[in-house]
Amino acid sequence: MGRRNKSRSKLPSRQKYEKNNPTVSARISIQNRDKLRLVLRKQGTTLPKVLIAFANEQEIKLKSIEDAKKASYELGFRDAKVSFAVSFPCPKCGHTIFVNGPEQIAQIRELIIKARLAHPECPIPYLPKLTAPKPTVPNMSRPNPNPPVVPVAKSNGNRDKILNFLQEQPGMQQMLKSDSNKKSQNGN
Amino acid sequence: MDDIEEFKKNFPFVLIMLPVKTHNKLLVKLDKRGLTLEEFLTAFANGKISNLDS
Repeated sequence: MGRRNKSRSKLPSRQKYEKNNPTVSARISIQNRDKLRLVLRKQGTTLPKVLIAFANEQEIKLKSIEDAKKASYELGFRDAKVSFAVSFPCPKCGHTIFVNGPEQIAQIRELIIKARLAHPECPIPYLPKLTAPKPTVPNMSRPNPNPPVVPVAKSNGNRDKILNFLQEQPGMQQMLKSDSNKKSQNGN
Repeated sequence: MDDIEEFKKNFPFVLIMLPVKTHNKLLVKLDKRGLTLEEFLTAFANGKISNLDS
């Protein structure tokens, strides 16, 4: 009395539904089930929708090599622009202006050279080497009737400028004085 | 029996009813990827599968 027969046959409509919509079942741990519920709630979706999307998902098409090259070049160019591009705001509108073109680069180069920026580890400022003509050894066995004409470099004032610069440097005056003293002692 | 009950408690069922065609597609897809439904659901829960246009 009142006991239900467990082997009761299902209704035809139920049978049809279950035939058309079979059950997919899985057992996962409680932690993962809670995570799954959280993820689904965050994404505002349901598990059947996720599984349908996965089932209908198109296979990922691989990009061609040319497309990949182009994409990587653009990516590298963007990174390099972020790292090395020099920009400044426009004084009128405030928008960014990128330094572009050989003329602007040359002007900036000139300013940097004038500012005498140097390696922090370099102790002495860079000076161009003074090239002196090699001394010629005279032939003492017999006099040369036509002695070779040694070209004399015209002084363009660079030497004087450099000497003045060296004299202005601290510590260089003492060195120059000591050199001149040595020369005078050798001359005596 | 206690072990089985413990297992059932720790690993509850997740039931989903899907249309037959989708069900078959899902089985094919899982088979292609070499995944079981449990592995797929675990991966999805851990954010390893997120680019599904659901």
